[in-house]
Amino acid sequence: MSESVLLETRKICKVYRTGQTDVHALREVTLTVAEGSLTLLTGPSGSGKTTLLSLLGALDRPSSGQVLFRGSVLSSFSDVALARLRRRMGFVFQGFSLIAGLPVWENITYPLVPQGMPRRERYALAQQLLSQMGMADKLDRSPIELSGGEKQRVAVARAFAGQPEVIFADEPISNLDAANRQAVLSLLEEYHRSGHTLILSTHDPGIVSLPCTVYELEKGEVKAVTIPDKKLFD
Amino acid sequence: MGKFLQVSETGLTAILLHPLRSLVTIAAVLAVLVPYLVGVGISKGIQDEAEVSVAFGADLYVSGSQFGQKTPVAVRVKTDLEAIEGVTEVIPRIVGSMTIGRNRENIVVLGLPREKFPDTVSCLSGRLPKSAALNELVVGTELASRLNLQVGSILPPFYRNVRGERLSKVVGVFQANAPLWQARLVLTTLETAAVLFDQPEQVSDFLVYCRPGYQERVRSKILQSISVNKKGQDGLRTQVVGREELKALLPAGLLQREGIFNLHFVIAFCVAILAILVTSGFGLRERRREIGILKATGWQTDEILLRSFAEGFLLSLAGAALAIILAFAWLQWFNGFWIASVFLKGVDPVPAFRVPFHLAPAPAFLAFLLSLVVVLTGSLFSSWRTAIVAPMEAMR
Repeated sequence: MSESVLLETRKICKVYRTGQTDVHALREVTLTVAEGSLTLLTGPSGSGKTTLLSLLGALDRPSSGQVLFRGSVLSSFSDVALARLRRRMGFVFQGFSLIAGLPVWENITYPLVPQGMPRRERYALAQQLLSQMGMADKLDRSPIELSGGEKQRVAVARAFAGQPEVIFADEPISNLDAANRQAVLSLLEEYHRSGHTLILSTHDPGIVSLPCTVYELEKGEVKAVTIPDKKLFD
Repeated sequence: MGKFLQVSETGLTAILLHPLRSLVTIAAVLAVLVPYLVGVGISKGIQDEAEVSVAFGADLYVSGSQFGQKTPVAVRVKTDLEAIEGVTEVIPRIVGSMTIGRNRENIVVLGLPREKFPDTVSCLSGRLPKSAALNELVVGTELASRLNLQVGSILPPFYRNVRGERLSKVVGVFQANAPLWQARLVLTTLETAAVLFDQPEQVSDFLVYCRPGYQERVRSKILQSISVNKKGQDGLRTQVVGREELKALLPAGLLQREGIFNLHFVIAFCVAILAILVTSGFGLRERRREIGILKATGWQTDEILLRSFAEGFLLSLAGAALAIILAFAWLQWFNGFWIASVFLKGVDPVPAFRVPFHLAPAPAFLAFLLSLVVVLTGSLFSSWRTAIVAPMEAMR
């Protein structure tokens, strides 16, 4: 059975300029992500996982090379087209990226505002999502009143809110205690089991129990690729 | 429409999300708009008052003219004017300015026949000058307070002429329906005014009242047949100014001051925009991050700008509404403190009389537009700059 390719990168590089120094975050990374697959980006800190994830999710532009979504090159997308594409994606950021002044329910459903979803419906949706996360009582709280694990679950709920085709989660369980790690992972695995594409970046490739493709990064390059039942070395 | 409203509503949320920034922005708007509204309010108030004065004034003002300048005319012309058909009353008047006191205060002396003193002038203390008594003056409350004059005060010799030095006595302190009179006006009899200015048998002009419908006919007749030349002298022309002409001339003087005020305002306006650009730096990092999050979660640049516009619109509305309330309070309860002295020559920063004002809807609407420009210039640009970069860059 041939799998359709959802995302693809072709020799992408990302260079950050800090003062007079160029930092090569990614060097000619080529990979593919199949529709409905589970993909892990692993590697030590500074290996380029977050950068690669943000390029795949159209949150940043590569310095060179191409990122393709269903065969279309993202660099050819207009600003509006990119924004609409992002609505079909969900992101769980490493630092949660919640807006401190907004209540939890609004943080979860803020991405739906431009789609014109009425406030009452957004509130109901947030209620439903938070119930799934076991946080129904935290609906009107401010994110600053939540623990790290709770914030991460809110971030996951926000990623789920738009019923995305793919979720990108950047170190979703780092800095969480065992109970919260399990809770967050279960939510993400459940999402993947329902046929959706999930791309995780993590230090620990053993965090998921499901079959997955693992891209091992080091100093901005793919050092190894493991596909289910097989390990391929670059 | 639903989407538009939903996004616009988040503008309100954005105001509450950054309370310090919102407060500083409103403060900058108030700093510009309140003095502006107070200034325009006073200017309009003065204009209204002047228009009322003209409307209830004479039909024609007759004086001499030489080299295009207004000159005094002989008091004997009064008889010629009274003889013209359609004229009901002729009042000679002397209006002149002089300086008095150690600080050389500029005053306006108005001399009228005693029986023609305006009904609207009443003495708070003392009495009005008697027709027979020379050198009796009444002064307005503002001038009295500024020069520390009371009933019975003897003014130092502020004129010298061939008849020597004369002292004048303050016999009353008046207040008038036209409060501005109280600022600089000294009211006296025609005889005293003629002595003060050393112009015997001369008046500044005549106030000519006509029967209804006769104004133009009387004007023509005056220009044709009345000579204001003194004996053995020619070259003076007769000048006649009608009520409507005077009305048209009035705003020019006021608007000149308003123009100066507007110039100052433009400078303040530019400073305010700069101030708001600086204040938009308050919490800029947090704001950039917030816009980055919105972009990352599917907001388009135009939606982010709409949110910023709604935020700016609401801040402007709040700023303008507050500015109007504060301007009203400034005029009503603080009597145009300081700004009145910008518009009215010789008025103290704390006016001792009721400063006229009129807060018209047009300047209030203009205030809103100006605050919108100030706020949007400061905020929309920074939002746009953040919204066009890649979300990760904004969030970094």
